[in-house]
Amino acid sequence: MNIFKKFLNKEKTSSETVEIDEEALQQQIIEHEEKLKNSDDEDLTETLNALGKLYYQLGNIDKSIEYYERSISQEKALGSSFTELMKLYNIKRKEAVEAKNDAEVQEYLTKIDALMQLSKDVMRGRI
Amino acid sequence: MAVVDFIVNNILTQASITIALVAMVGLLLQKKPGGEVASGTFKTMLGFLVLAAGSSIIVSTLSYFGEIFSEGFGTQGIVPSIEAINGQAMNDLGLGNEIALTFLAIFLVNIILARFTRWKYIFLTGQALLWMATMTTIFGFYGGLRGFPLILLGGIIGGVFAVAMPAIAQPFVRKITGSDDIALGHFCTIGYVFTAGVSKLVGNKSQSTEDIKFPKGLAFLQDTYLAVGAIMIPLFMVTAAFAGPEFTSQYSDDLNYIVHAFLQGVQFVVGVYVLLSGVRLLLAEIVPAFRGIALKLVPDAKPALDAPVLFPYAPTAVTLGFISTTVGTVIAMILLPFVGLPVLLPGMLTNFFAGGTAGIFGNAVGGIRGTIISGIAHGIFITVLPALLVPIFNDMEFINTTATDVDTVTAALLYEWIINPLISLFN
Repeated sequence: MNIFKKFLNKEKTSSETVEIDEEALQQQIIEHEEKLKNSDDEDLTETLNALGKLYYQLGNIDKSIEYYERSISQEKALGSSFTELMKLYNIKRKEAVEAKNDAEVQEYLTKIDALMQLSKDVMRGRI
Repeated sequence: MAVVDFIVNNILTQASITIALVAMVGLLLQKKPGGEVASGTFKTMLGFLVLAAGSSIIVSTLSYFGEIFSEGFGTQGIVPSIEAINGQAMNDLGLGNEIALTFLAIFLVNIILARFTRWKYIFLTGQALLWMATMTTIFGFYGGLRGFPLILLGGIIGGVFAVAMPAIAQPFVRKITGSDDIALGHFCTIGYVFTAGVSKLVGNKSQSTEDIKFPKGLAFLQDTYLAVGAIMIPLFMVTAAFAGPEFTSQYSDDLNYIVHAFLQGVQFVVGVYVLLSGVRLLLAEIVPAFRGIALKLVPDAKPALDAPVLFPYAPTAVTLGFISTTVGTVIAMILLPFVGLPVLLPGMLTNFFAGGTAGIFGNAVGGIRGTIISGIAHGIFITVLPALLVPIFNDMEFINTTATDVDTVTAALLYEWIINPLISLFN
């Protein structure tokens, strides 16, 4: 019984945390999107990555992917945008498998392939 | 009956047709439209035949290189190339059919193991599976197996490796990526785990390779073929110079022997280019078809991906791993003849992919110091293991080459040291 209570309490606490975070995250997204409009090349990647991260924390994977993909097309330097994208593509691939959506499974596997090819090319100084 | 006989004897004996049929089955299972099935099947067959053409070019230049190396240096000079091994096994040994079917069998065993055991890894690097199928087929064949038992055993051994290698790498991959979502599907894993072990012993985790400034791009490796040429062409020319004009004139006729050696070096690059184009064409249809099927059958699968999946986590470690592994392969090349083994020339592409990834493993457990020292040890390790196979490859009349990826070499040694002696007990 105690374990059950503990479990319920834990659930309640975490859902409250998410609620509070959500508002803060939305606010941060607005700020960063505003910043994006006036960003110069130097901090553009940073802003795009921040937006990718915020959307991920909000659970909006598609939007998160969109920003990380923009970040990579802006600056092809190996780092968190690559590793986060790999993680997100894999989440989408898993969702597609669960939804039995074959076309989407292939789409995300192809995106994973392309990201690995890009990592290889960046590493070898092709880009 | 005559029709069945005709099909069995004239169509299914042709490896290019068998592998095309395998691709066709994959495309049909995916319910692709008729046009796509037809074009995919045809392209797969073309891929096999392009691969065969590339292999013939490589064999002709390697046989020349073998002769001049022996004359020039008085010992055997081996060019490690799993592609050349695959090409020769498929064509000269006539094992194309068996390799194609073993490739399929490995895939099926991988799916069965992932579906019914707690190791949920699906190995998605098609090229590596082809190399594994090649090695299990060659060494099973060498042990006397033929037909169905050869394919079945190759499928089981290869399938176990396809699950076991990502599984043994996973604790390190978790450490590197900080998650358990993806796995590593690259048949050089035993080398990576060896590297991590050495790095743990000698390293110091507190200073990571990623804390230092280091040129990250390996510009001279920008083009695969330039990288191969940059090593092989000078090597051919220097070797010809040591062999001398008298000996080499039997190959060069009226042409200057150094110019001839230069052209032979270029021919080697052409062979690699053609062969790898064939491999890409061959796998372009099969791999997407079968990985779609595998992920459907094992919904909670962990995809085991090619080595570059780890590069973004520690790019400096990749560069350091490549350099230190190359140093190790050069040390091993010099030392091997002193222990009665042939000279194995360093392969830049293996050093880049395997060495780079080994660097990431080394850094994860032993920081900069660990990466450098364990990288050198890794270079020696990945040279010594394939050198052990050279007498068998020579015995089977492979021309002057040996395998590269150490997991496939380990599978071959498993056959040679355990499975084949057991088979001979029952024969």
